[in-house]
Amino acid sequence: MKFIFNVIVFMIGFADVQAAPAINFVETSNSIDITIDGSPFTSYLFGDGLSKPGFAPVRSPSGIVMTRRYPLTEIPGGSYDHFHHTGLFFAVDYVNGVQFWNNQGVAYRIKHLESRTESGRDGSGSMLTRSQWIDESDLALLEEKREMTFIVGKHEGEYAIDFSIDLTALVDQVVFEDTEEGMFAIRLTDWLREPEDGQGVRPGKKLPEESIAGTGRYFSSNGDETADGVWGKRASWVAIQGIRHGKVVGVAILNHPESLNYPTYWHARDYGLFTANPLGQGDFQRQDDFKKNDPLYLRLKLRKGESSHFRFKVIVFEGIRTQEQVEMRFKEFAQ
Amino acid sequence: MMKWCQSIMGVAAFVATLSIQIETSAETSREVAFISSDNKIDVTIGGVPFTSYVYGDELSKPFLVPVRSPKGTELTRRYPLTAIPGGSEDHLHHMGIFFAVDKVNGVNFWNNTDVAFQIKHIATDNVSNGDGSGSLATRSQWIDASKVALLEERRVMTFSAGEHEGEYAIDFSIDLTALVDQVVFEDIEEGMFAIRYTDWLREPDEGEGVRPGHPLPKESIAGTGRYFSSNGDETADGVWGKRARWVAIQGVREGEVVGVAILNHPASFNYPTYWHARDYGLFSANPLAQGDFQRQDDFEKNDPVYLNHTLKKGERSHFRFKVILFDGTRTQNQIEKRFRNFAK
Repeated sequence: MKFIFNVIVFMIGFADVQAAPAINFVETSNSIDITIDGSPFTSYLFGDGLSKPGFAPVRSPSGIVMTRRYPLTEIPGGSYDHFHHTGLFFAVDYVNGVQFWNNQGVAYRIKHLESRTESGRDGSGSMLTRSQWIDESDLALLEEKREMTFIVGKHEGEYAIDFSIDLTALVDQVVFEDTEEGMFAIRLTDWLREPEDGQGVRPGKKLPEESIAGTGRYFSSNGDETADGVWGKRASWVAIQGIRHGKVVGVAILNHPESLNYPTYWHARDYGLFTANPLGQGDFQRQDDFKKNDPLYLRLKLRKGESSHFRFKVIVFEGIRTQEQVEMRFKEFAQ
Repeated sequence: MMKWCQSIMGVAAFVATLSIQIETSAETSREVAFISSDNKIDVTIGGVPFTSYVYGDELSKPFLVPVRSPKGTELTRRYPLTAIPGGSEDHLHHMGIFFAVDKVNGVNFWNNTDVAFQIKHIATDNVSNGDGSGSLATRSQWIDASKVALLEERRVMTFSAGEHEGEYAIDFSIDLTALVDQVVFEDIEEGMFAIRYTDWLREPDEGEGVRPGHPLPKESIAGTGRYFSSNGDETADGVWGKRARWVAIQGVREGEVVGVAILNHPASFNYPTYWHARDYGLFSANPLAQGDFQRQDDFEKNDPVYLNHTLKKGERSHFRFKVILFDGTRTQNQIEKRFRNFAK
């Protein structure tokens, strides 16, 4: 009897391993699609017409689109502000004076150079990319090396991407001006925007009615809530959740303690921009309510060959999450 | 017999009346009063000693020592002013509550028990007694070995009682202004807003200090303390060298749980501060040592970002902390609520 029981446990265990989602990368000339058991999760886009590489769209485990596709695709009734916010991207303004963030042209741009992918059958797959941050005179200021690990099936109803990014100066000196316009960002789908009345999704409260005007609500590791509460502060993570296709869905961004100027400041806005900006320190302090001290500007400088490391984990989830649940994910990530 | 009974009842009635009076007075009198004497200002609450602000020509810096909980339990180490059998004798420069930091234009204002250079109390600018809250405004100078005053320190300490049951609090609002052409603060862990708590609150080696929801450990001079922070980190190991909005520690003394929380105000310089919290009894917030803490962090993926904070003559930095002294076990959520209230 015990033998049979053991066999069953073994078989269940085996079945689990078999069922671990397969992550695959499908490459074209200007995109890499990431699929999970054959279903699209997200696409890495890097065509010559794009000012920077990015992921769009990014989907939840049941396929709900969590990011804004505009300006790539228009939606009736959808937002059309800030052309430079598409999907998930990494850029910042005023790098040796160049606006790599607020930029739609390709006169200066973050240019994808090469990639390597490694499909996984154990619920994780990885993609390595190399890009350059190129100014108007076609001079490459920075090299960006990224390792992205796609993680599925580890936690029910969650997909995650772990971003490990190194920026290395290719010229004598690269100076990052302290400005709020940056850096590790998601432009959320319009349905996740925060409504003006602040009545977004909250654990333990009645769910609001789904709307393209948004039912989102931010919450952070500090216990702060809403864009007003979260904006311009340091926090180890921030999350937002709202209703789409009748379900609560959301996005969390976790900042790893090894990341530059951890815990990062947050430039999280109610209209759909959700971004971590560790470099805008002085600009955030300048705008703080208390103003008892002069802002401490960071003015990060890299000399030729010097690197800065940035690390974030993005979790897209289905089902309502509490502060404690996201905190557990953070502790696991920060170990 | 009858007479005897009556007199007994009379005494009982008198005792009952007395105890009612005592209880009533304890509940109603939260009068915060200051008693100035030579080199010392005693702070009393309802006529009972709370703490003393001590200074003087022989002290390297002003201190608040001892500091008591509402029930009168001493929460700070008195050593080296008073030695205790079996008590700690390390770090002579740690006593009570103090504010200092190392390497200010090269001068060790923290690690200093001498007066060759000193943080010198100059004047008491204001004393105001009050019901439930009273404040003391002081002025000091940070003076180097050649007797040049580098910094002026203006401090307002607001002592409060009765806002929350079983808690006393002191709100420290401190401004440092450069008196010379340039004052440079080196990034070094030795600082800054500090309490050296009583030996009984030290963290035991096995990490088995007081935790909400767990059986209480046995009181010991070796310590039954346990740190916890706004990040949800616990123990000195978990808290040390990180930024956090507040840190607290609690342990057992006189048979009951007592503790100390230090909250950092968002208006404070380089908020949220880094913490230099050690298991042996030093509990300190240090917003200036950013680079030194980053240098020692576990990951070492980035070069430390040194602050090398510099004030030119007349420039000022503002620091703000609240210390809460409490009786009874506290949870993370309870201290978080105090922080929210303070940070408004």
